[in-house]
Amino acid sequence: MMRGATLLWAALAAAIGTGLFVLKYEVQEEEQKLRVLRKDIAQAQEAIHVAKAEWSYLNDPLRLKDQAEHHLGLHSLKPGQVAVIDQLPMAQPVSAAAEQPQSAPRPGSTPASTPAPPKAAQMPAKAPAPPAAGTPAKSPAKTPAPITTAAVQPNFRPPARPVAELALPKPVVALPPDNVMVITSPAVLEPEMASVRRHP
Amino acid sequence: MIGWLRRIPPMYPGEAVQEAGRLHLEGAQKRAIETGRTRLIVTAAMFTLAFTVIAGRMVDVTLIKGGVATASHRPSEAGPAFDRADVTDRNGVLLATSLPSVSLYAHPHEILEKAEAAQKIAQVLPDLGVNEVRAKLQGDRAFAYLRRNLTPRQQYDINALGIPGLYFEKSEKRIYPQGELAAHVVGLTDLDNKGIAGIEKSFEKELKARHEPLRLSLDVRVQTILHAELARTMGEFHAAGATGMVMDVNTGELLGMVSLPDFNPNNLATTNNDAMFNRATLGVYEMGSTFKLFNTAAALDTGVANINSSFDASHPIKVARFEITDYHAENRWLTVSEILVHSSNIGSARMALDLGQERQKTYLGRFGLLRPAAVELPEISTPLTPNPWRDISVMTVSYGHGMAVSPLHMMAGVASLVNGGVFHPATVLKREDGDPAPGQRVIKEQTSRDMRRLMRMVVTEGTGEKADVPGYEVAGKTGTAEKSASGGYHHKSLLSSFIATFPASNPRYVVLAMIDEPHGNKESFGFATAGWTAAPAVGRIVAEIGPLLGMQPSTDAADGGKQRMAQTASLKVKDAKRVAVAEAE
Repeated sequence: MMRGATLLWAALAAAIGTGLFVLKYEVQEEEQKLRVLRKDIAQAQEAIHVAKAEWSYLNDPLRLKDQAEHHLGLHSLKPGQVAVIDQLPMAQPVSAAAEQPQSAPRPGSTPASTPAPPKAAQMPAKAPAPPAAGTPAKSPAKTPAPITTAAVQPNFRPPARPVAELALPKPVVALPPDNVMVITSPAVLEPEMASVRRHP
Repeated sequence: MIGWLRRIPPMYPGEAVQEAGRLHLEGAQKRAIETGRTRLIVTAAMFTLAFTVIAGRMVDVTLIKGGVATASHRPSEAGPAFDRADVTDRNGVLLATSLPSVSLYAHPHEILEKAEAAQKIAQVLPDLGVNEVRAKLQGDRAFAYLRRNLTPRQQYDINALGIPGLYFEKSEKRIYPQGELAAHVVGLTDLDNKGIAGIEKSFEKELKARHEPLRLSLDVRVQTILHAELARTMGEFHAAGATGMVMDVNTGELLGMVSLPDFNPNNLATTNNDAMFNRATLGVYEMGSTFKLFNTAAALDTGVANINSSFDASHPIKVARFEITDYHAENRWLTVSEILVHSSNIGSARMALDLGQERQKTYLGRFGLLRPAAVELPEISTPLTPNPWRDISVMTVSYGHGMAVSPLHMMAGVASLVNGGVFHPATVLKREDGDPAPGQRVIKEQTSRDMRRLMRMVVTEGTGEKADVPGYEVAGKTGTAEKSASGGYHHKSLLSSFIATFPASNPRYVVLAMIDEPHGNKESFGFATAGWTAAPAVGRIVAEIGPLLGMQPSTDAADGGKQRMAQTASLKVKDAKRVAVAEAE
């Protein structure tokens, strides 16, 4: 009886001891792995942090503006380039004409005032207009306010040019029958913009 | 276990026999056995208790507390921990951040060949002189910093030298990715990363305590435009300095604050005290005619005058040795609106006399002009007010002389005039959307409406014409002050400022531009007054930031929109003709 109990306890102790021994080394191994992973994470986080600083440095608005002007021919947004859909001549056939009492009489002979295709072509063009209080709720292309980090961000939206043209309604001509938008070079557009601003 | 312990093993030969034979010992022998048994039980109980405590403690240490200890080693998910939090603009663009860097130090007594080591170090770091390094190594000290903020390349090279006694220390370096753009607001830190100016100084504790970036109300895009236009104006008119600000009238948030000349906080070696000086908040100036806005608002609000009252500006006022004259003299009775439009000093002085000293002081106080500007920057100034406040002071203060305030005072005051009459203290921290801005009503809503109309008239038919931007209804006031020098005023050194709000019908922003000592040029026909220097700058700033901030230019028939619509029509006709021609061909 006594011997049996002693043997049992001895065996139990040996088993637990061995189990603990094995467990301890396993844990050490796992901890080593964890340490390496954490070090990697910390390094990656530090690298991200540095990259963020560099990103901010490269996003200097003045530099972006230079680059946009040099490589893309885009210029800062001018007040005349902000418009709502009701100001667009193209929108008239769809939105009730009664909504725009202030708009000038449209020459009936304008070929591009055919409703459907130009309208479709213009839809994305309306997007860059910052949504103002007066933007009609029905407009499908309502975009969030252009709050971005770059000074010239509005210029990066490709459709900015069509709006510019629409605000000074010129684009009517620029639509060949096959619905291809002809985008005037900013260099051509610029002098006119300036003249509109200077001699209102 | 306890039961087993109770089964006492035989203690002496014969005991088992006694048990078996149910022999009972009596007397002293029995007592001895009983005592021994009791002692054994007590001892066993004590050991059991001790082991239980130890077991419990082990569970506590390994399972309960151990888990917590492991968790504390976990890297934070938001990013590496730096001593100082970042500073960003309102859209999250970094304005100040900490980068990891490495400093090199030495324990000189561990270095064997000091002269040779100095030679080698100087080769890798050419900006350190050999003699300088040698002096540091041969000194008596046990520790010497050799260089802070090594590049990774330099660190590698130094390491490759294999000199014993050189050590690297991980540290951090504060950098400002936007350079001088927001230098005066963000401020800077010293070598030990302690804030010594701007936000870095005023939020020293918060920046060290927090992990989240501190979000300012500035917008780098607005800041860039402001900076570019002010620099351009400064160049055009060979001015000594310039400052400009953009403020949200409804919250008091400053979207832009520029003071020129400025400095690059990443490279302090090239700066000087003039560049470090924040003209927008620390400089106090006699602002000149822009003060007439406050005078007029006070007169209208108290009922001393209404918008149609007129005042005698037919001849200069002579008080003691002073003579108050008009720059654009009309020499007749002027209405309140004409006084502002023609910027009449005489008319303003008469209005101020009717208002009286007490009420003038009350209103200036309400507009925040008699106390230090409330903004979270350490560089703020207290206005200089006339003491004693005589009648002559009442008159001169009405048109902005004899009292000096900072441009920031001006800004917050004018914002309260146009936003419906509520004064919001200026702030450079972003307010969360929906957070109510602290405010205090200072004038009636009707007075504010009148002020907007008057300011709009200054732009449509007065001295501020060059600030107009079709569609944005700019309303403002020019101010051209002669800078005071010892014992009088300099006629040649001016301080030209223009403060504007737009759009006049429902103001969103106030824009201020102040040009310090501009000189007239050919384009301005030799004029250096505000209408020719600051006003056009404000116009250009408004034209650029308006679309940027998503503001819809008005197309009301009353404003420039009418002209644009007319132009639209004529262009359209022309285009139609062109198409017709093209088709014919």
